[in-house]
Amino acid sequence: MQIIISALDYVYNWARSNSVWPLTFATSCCGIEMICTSASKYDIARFGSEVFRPSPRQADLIITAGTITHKMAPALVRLYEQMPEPKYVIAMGACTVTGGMYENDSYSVVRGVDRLIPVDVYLPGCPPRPEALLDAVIQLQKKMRTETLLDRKKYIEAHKPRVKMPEGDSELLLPCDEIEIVRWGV
Amino acid sequence: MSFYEFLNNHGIDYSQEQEASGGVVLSIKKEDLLACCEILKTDRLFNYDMLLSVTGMDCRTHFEILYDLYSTRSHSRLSLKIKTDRVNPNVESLYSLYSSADWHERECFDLLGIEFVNHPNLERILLPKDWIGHPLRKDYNQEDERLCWNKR
Repeated sequence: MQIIISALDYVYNWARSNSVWPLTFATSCCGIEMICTSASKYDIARFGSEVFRPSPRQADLIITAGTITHKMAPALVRLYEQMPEPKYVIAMGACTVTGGMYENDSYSVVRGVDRLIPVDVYLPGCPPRPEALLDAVIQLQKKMRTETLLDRKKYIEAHKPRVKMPEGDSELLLPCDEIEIVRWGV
Repeated sequence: MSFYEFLNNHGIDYSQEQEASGGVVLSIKKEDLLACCEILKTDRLFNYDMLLSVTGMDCRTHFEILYDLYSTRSHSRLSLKIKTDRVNPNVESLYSLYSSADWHERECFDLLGIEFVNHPNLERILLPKDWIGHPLRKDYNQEDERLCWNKR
């Protein structure tokens, strides 16, 4: 049984890790580097990720390219929830890793996208070079190849959003009671 | 006719004038704003027919609002500066003259809490609807318990 599943895993992971379809999601200047990565000079198509989907329902990967503000946060969480399992997140740029230059005093910026959704690969830089984004995609592919179908339930449990969607007329995301609030940094 | 003669002829009460790099800056009274803009917009010679931006400033004792006007006929710029109180700040909306005032005034209301009287849809534009406080005020302190997941 174990042998069959591991053989199945190998084929399954080989297929899906070589066709990671990202979502077209760019909120600021990192998006320019993402566009550049998909263009002919750097050519993300070499890694099977050239199909930027306009709809989250067809995407496997969300590259959060750019600052996430409180106004944008509910939209990001909703897009993430609409993506089919298995789904992956690359936090691209300093703003989505820790808040970046808005970390100390900003009133409107979310301090790192990992407060909202679980992140697979952190990619620092302001903005990162296209080579760095390609490296992040390769790291993600390596991670995908280590996964097994047996752990799927555990995986889905770990990939829930970390905040609650607002209720009623509110537009502010609320803390989720079930999951501990992430506290790290200085 | 020079510009200052024009202002005096129409009885516009400007208390201070200074030449900035972009053009003239006039300080006028808050109550005269709408009438003054109407004269400046309808005049055939100067014809300031475009509102470029509405900027609010917190000067601790009072708020200042800067209106940047542009004339597509004479290609000149003019800035009008008004003052309003810090407690219950309010000023007449310019939406009836310039429709571009709509979003600029909403932004000013959102970030500084200045009320624009007779504005058609004065609500927050950049921040979430149920945000507490106005962030660009000097005494703003973010103490919203709902955002505890965002604390450092």
